[in-house]
Amino acid sequence: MTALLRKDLYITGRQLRLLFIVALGLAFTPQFHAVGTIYLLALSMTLSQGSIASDSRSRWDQFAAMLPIPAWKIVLSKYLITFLAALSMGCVACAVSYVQHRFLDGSISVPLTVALLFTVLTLHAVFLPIIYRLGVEKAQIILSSVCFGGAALLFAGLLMRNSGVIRFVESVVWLMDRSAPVLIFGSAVLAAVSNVISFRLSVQFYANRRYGLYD
Amino acid sequence: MESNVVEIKGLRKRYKGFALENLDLALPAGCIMGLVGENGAGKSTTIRLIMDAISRDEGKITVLGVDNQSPDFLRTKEDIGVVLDETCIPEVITAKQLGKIMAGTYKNWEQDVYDSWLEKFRLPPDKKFKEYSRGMTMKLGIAAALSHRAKLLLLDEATSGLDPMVRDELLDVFADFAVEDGHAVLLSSHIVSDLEKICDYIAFLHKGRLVLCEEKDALLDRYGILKCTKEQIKNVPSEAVHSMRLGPYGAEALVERAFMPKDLLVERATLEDIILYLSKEEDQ
Repeated sequence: MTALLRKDLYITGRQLRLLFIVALGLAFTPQFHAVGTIYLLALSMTLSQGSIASDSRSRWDQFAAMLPIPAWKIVLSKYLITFLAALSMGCVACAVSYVQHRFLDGSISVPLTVALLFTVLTLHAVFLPIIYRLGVEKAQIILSSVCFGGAALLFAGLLMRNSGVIRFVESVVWLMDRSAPVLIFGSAVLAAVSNVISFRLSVQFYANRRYGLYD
Repeated sequence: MESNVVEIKGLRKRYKGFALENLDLALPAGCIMGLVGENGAGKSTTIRLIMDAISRDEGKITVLGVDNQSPDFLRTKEDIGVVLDETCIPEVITAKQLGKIMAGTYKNWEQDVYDSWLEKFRLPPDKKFKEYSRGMTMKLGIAAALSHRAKLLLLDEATSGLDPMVRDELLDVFADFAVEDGHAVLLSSHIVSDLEKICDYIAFLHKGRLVLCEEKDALLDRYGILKCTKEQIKNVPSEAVHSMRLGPYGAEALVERAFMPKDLLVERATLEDIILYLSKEEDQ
């Protein structure tokens, strides 16, 4: 397992360092406090996706099929690397949120950051089986369409000041800040359950794809 | 008694537009078998099937005495070194980093052996894989395959695209590997001259069908090239002639020496001659 984690770190380490600096810069830029913090959390998700894309590009999976490594270990390494990255990014994001909230009038509190971290892990649990089932290229097209579509809808809503989107976002943030323990517990349970189900599906999809059953 | 390192029985694998049909093959210990055939003949598919990396439709494969679909096969993979036609290593990884990854993958990984192969092949340990030439990438794959005390080497087009000097160097490495007790090599290539140099057995795949699988020396003894007039060839028994070319000055044919009349001179056929004539016969 350490060999697989090591490989993923070799592949994504440089890209991750660069993104980390950008995210940290954004987090301390007044207008982008929130974006920067969310970006820091989302970085952990890009790690496994970047690694799967690299494996597919270099045909590592074909080589891995020749090695004495079971399919579940290869899939587990992608989850573990995300959890490790999420843990470290979560710590950084919490520290950033604390500084923002305490000294820079930031909009995201520490409890909300923790809840967002679990939400990111839940999204990761949704995305990974899709990538393994459809292949990196198709999945990335679908996932980026969903992300861009969602962002476009939100942006359009924010532009239309009377649409109530701003009020809705504000009330969600207000609610989240006031019921932090429930929020953190709920998002943690959701992240745990979704990742267990996601892992089982991913192993099956990965093994089938590698075995040529989706060709 | 000589045991088989790889045994394939009744193997079938069908894709859209291609089928590997009813393949039977046995690779004895201590031998190098050359898997020869045109591009798309099924050589890479066979190697992937041996490693159970792709699903099969029918048949049974045993590697080092273990059914390759049994749970024990994962442990058997420790004893198999594989080099694919593309080395399949992420491009940002260096040879040194690959060594660390492999050390965590194979229980029998020998770092000092790997380092000595890097030195022998003159591979810079800190250079990224994407900066390697084709020859260097293949050498790196071979270095990794030889550094975990493998008993069986599966090499898929490991010498194609390389210059003759490098090819010769690698062929020597494979020959040295096969000499050791209980070792065997399955080498797929469409460079027949390479196979003729080092192989003990030749398996010829053509359009997904195994045309022959024989000892190389027996094959070279069995077949010959007959160069004669068009009149002379008419008198040769039909069972002796496998395929022939008629030209303005006469005829040239691949013949089986056993059926040939003594008065006609039969020249030695190269492996390439045999493969070319037999594939022509198959196409007809």
